[in-house]
Amino acid sequence: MHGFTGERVLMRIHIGERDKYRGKPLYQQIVELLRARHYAGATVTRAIMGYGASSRLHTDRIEMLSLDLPIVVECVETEPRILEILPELDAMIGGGLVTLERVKVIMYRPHLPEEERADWPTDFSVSWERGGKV
Amino acid sequence: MLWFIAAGSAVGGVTRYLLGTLVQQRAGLAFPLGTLIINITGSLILGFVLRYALATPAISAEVRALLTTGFCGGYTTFSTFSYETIALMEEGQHLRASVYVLLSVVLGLAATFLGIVGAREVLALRERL
Repeated sequence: MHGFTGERVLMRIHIGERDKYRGKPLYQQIVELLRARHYAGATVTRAIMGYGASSRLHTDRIEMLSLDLPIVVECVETEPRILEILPELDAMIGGGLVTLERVKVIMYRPHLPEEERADWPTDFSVSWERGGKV
Repeated sequence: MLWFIAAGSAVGGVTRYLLGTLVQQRAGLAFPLGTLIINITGSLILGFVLRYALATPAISAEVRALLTTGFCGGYTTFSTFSYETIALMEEGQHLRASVYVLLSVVLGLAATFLGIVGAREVLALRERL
């Protein structure tokens, strides 16, 4: 079990549903890699429509265009840990979009009843460590 | 017999995938033009091939099945047409959905008819030669 609050970096990876790495789905390989290295977490979302670097259209509304829908993988971690994993991800990802954002984590904790949440308090201060307000 | 149908269906399905995607990428997100064109051309082909093949002993029942039940069956699609119509309605595009249904049925029937007429003409031409 883990949790934290504070400034972190959000890494967002846009790839295709059918992208593969070593025979398995790329998004699954990325999540498994992050988990194996004990990164704080990762979430995969299937998008309903989009186009990317090759300008190929994808949408879930038209059968012929629904065969490779966009996938977004998100991971929130400390800046050094994100930078550390980028070269490995770069080797796995054939094509796509990867962005980094600065975020303020105000709450991240495992599911617990109200009485047991003291170890993971929510940060309501809403200010950046390096100065300035959100 | 089953192998003939399987072979035709495989080619038909793959053709639909390749051609349909090609058309749809140009058509964009707004209208399932790929499926429409596939179904109309498939109807044209079926009308011609079935009428022609039935009229000549040169084409066996097996080959006929390969071309009609097989290829045309795999090439055209009613299920995709139905799904895309429902999807359009889900988006609130009721006019577009109606147009899609109307065009699919009317142009599909017209194409089949033209195919049949074409077969008749080619057969008549063969008689005269």
